[in-house]
Amino acid sequence: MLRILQHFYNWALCYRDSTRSVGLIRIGLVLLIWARWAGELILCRDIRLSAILLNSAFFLLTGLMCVGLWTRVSSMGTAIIISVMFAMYESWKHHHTFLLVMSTLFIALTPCGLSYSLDRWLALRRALKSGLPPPPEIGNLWGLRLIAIQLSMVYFWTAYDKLNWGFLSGARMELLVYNYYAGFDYATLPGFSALCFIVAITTVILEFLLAFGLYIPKFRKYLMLAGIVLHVLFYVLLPIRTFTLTMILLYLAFIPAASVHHFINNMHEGYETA
Amino acid sequence: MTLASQYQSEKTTVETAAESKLVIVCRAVAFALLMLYVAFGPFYKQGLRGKSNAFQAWRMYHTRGIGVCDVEFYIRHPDGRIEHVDHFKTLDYDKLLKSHHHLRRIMGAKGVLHVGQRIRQKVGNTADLRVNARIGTRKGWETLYVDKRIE
Repeated sequence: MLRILQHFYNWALCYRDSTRSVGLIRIGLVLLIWARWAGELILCRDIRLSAILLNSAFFLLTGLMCVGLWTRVSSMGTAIIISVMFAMYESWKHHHTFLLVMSTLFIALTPCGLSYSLDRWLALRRALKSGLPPPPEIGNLWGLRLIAIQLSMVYFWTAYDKLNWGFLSGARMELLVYNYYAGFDYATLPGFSALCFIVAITTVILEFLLAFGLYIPKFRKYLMLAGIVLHVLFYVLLPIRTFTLTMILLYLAFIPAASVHHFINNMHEGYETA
Repeated sequence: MTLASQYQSEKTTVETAAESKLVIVCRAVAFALLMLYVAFGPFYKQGLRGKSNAFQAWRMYHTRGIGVCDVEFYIRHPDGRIEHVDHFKTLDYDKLLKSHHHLRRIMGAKGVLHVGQRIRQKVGNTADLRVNARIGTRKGWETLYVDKRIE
């Protein structure tokens, strides 16, 4: 038992590696946050002083987080401000947006400004001036582990929710087709119910596999590919908005940070194995 | 120095740097609390059926499609012949196909009867217009009307 706890402790809290993954996630999350909410928060939408101040703070903090200036403060500030808005605005309360809020909080707990940021550029300039070596792009990535656990929970509980005959029989899948694609008599199409049944079963199996399998290096590549296909299909077929891209972006939490680092290095110099 | 060796030396430097015990303990406590929140929240909402809004459930498209109807209209002729009525054509659905799905779908018993009334106006009062309909529920399809006459 102690050995398992020690192993978990090392996995969760002693993950010191390249910060390029978290740098990329930081930028991606801000773009998704803007895609989701920026339109609603433009200053002219609500000209009460309190709203103008809150919305200005949103744009200032997310902007600083995106370019990576004073990143620890700006990313934590962004996490706090979108959490406050999530709690305040009823229209924001949705599990898709909850994932965005939690991921921003978790990424703010990592040194996500050590890579791809103005902070990095300023640190390099200071090092160059004083003749010191470039500052390391290495930090404790425990926030990435929290993101990984969050994604597993998303997959596990969403699959759990589908464990009923209504869904497993394919009927709920048919309902989605009738709900979003009404306009044709699907019941008369040969094999329509069978196809919905197969899609329903496949979805549940894949979601359970994704909940646990992404931690296993041997299966990761194939499961990620299957997961991306699943999410892209959801994105194209159903009104999901930012959720698909958030999930795909957060897959970076499962890829070893060293692999991401080497993959990017390989683009800058001769090939080396990751 | 290659990029790979630079990465390795940076990693070693950071790994050997000592962290204060306070930082380590705070991080461990924060991790445990956040992990509990992330893992326990959906268990509370979905496993224990808790009502608190402080936690998040993960139910995708849980209520979508509930109440949507699949309908089949037809006219029963005096000689017993059944004539299927394509309500999509009768109601000019071709024009609706590019509209929002809220305008295209038929929702609930009222929606079926409303569409029935519109078809009635097209086919005239003398026709014996009838409908079979099923409605979407959490458990799947349930029969709504069998051979119901539209007045």
